[in-house]
Amino acid sequence: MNAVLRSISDDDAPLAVQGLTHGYGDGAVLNGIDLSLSPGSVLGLIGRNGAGKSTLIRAMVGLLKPHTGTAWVFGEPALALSDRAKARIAYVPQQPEALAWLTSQQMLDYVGRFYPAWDARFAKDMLHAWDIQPNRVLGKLSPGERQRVDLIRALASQPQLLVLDEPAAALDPVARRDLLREIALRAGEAGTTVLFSTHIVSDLERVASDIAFLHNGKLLLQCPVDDTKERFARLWLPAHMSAAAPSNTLGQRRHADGSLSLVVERQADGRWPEAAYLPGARVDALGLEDLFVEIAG
Amino acid sequence: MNARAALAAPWYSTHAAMRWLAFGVLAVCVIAAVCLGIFSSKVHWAWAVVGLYSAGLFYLWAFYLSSITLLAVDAHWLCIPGLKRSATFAVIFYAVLSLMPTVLVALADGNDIAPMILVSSLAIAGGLSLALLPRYFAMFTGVVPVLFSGLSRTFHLPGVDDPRFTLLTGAILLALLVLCAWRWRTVIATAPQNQSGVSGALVLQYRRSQWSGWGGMNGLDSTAQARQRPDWMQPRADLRRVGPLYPSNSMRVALGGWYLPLTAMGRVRAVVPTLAAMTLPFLVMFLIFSQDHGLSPSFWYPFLALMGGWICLFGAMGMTFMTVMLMQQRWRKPNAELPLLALMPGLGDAASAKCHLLSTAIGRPLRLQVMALILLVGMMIATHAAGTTMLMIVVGQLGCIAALIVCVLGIVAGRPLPGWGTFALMIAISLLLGCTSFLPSSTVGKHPWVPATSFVVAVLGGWTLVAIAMAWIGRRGMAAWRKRPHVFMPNG
Repeated sequence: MNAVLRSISDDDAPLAVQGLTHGYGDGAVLNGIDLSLSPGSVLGLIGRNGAGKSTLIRAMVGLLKPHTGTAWVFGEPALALSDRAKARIAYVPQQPEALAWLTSQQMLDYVGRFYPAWDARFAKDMLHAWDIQPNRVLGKLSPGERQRVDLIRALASQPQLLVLDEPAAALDPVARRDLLREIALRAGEAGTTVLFSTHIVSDLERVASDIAFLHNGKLLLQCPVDDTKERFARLWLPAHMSAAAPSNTLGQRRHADGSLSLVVERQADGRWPEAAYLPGARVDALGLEDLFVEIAG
Repeated sequence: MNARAALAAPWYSTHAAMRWLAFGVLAVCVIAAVCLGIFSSKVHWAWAVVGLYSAGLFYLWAFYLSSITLLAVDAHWLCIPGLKRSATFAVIFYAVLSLMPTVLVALADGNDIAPMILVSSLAIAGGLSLALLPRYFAMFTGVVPVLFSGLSRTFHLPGVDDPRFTLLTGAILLALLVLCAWRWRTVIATAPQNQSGVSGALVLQYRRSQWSGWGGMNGLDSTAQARQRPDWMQPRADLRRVGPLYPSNSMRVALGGWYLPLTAMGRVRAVVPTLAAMTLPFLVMFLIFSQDHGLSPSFWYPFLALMGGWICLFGAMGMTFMTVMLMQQRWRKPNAELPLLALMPGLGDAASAKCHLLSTAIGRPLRLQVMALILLVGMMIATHAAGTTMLMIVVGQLGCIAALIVCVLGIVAGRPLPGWGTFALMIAISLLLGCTSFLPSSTVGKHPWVPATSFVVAVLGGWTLVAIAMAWIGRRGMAAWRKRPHVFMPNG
């Protein structure tokens, strides 16, 4: 699960995009996104509501045609996937609503016929474990139950690439923990590559090996989760020193007293920017949630 | 009590499109009534004015002012008794206000004051009743005037000149007021989540988003439909011939609706409600026809020809509308069937999946439409119908088929018509087909009727304009079809 975001040129990357831009109407949602997942990694895509996470994910798996840029899934163009590539990928949209007219059992039976590695036993066991009535029509299930059925559908196909858009949004704490455990298990034991979007930071900390932070249509940072504490910090400068603030920051906020808070990154030599060493300046360590709030808040 | 808030309640309780449509209908009725009042020289001009105004009132109360009920429901469940009283006050205030123009007209006329007020009151109570009654009653609203006409001839119901008219309308009004009061209490006291099915009041549907704007034409989405249907009405899917070896059947399962392959029992369950809904209009037509022709042996042939002709004529049109609405709905959601189909192996490459989908989506309705066309043509030939009659029927059916093809192509190609465009096309087709609705019955007499040349030219001219529009829709759809990498991408 040692995930590293690798260069775009890797042909074996389960999922990669380059120069992706997209928008709706006049508004741009994605601005030149480059991203690649290495096999076996668990990448948590984090961002505020409306940051463009779902759009990015849908473009990555070929569910929409971006204005510019290209997406690849297992080295194939995402917009023209072969059956071989499709059999290796599973995607769960946010608030899934597919096949409302079938029962849970019928839906899994129907979908299962198309996947060569379909694990019917797993599907049946999970329906039972998650208390889903197999003969109830999907349209009559609650959003949380429906999300669980779709997660079962995705996991039962035994994918090598699992793409989940806000998978825990409608789940109760028990189901959420079960899901995160399953993701960690799949990634750790079967080497499944996972991309999931969320705005719940604790989920990221629990299972993600890497993090990508999407803000205003751009990827502000992408790195291993464990590195964030070491690489990023909050630099506080009193009002009279604000002129010394470094220009290259991930976010900055001016307080009522004129002092300045900046999110800074270590330089290539491992040192903080020069302003951090001025008398009166203060460097605070940032947890993942604090980092998220400082940048996006 | 905040009277101002109560009076503004209908404005804020309805979606803008519904609100303006209701005002539009009322305005048309009022303008027509005013014109009639000014220019009519007939003795019963006041009755015509009141009749037109009452028709507008009925629509206004059914689809706009009845939304005050929603305020009362919220007030009840939020435990705000003052607001609930305000809602009741608003209903009474608007009812009295609605009657004022009728009172003025009746006073100006000087005769039949009470009957005229009663008729307008009936329109108000009727409109409110329709909104408060379970939704399935709305299906039968269209046949009420014909039913009333049939019943009045059968039971010799009094006309407006008859002194018994006041008594009859008064009794009906009283019954409707009791019905309104009972339904008002029931609708308010029952939790809205327990009234989401077809037995829920029509007015509760007004706050759903699909009633707003042109998107409302697509009807309820599949999840809402599943929730509103009782368990015994849920479709029973037949999944025996589904999988990579049966791409067409697999697509039908994913498209759902009337494409869904059903088990034998599922088919019966699907057909029964449709037949039940058709029973009342059928009976009404039977009643009217039997009065005109009597139940002689010569009755059945024209009657069945008329019914069969209408079913074929309007069935083909309904098939087009139903298919277009279903496809629009499926291609709107990014989180439903499209991502599943896009990433599901076994449906072939993008090109073959495109072909399978298009042939599945169009093939089934097309077969039924062609059958309807053959039946109609057969009927025309058997009855030695005039050439122009045959031409109008065939052009109408081909128009429906063409509309089906170009609209579905546009949707799956990613260039669907905007809501207003679909609406305009549907209206145009409905009007043009409506112009030919009498043709099936006109062919069964001893001397088949030949439509006037000017009429034929006007209808065919209308179809020509629609055909030009459809050619343009088809051309842009085909261009988008060629460019689209795969078909399972949502529109918008």
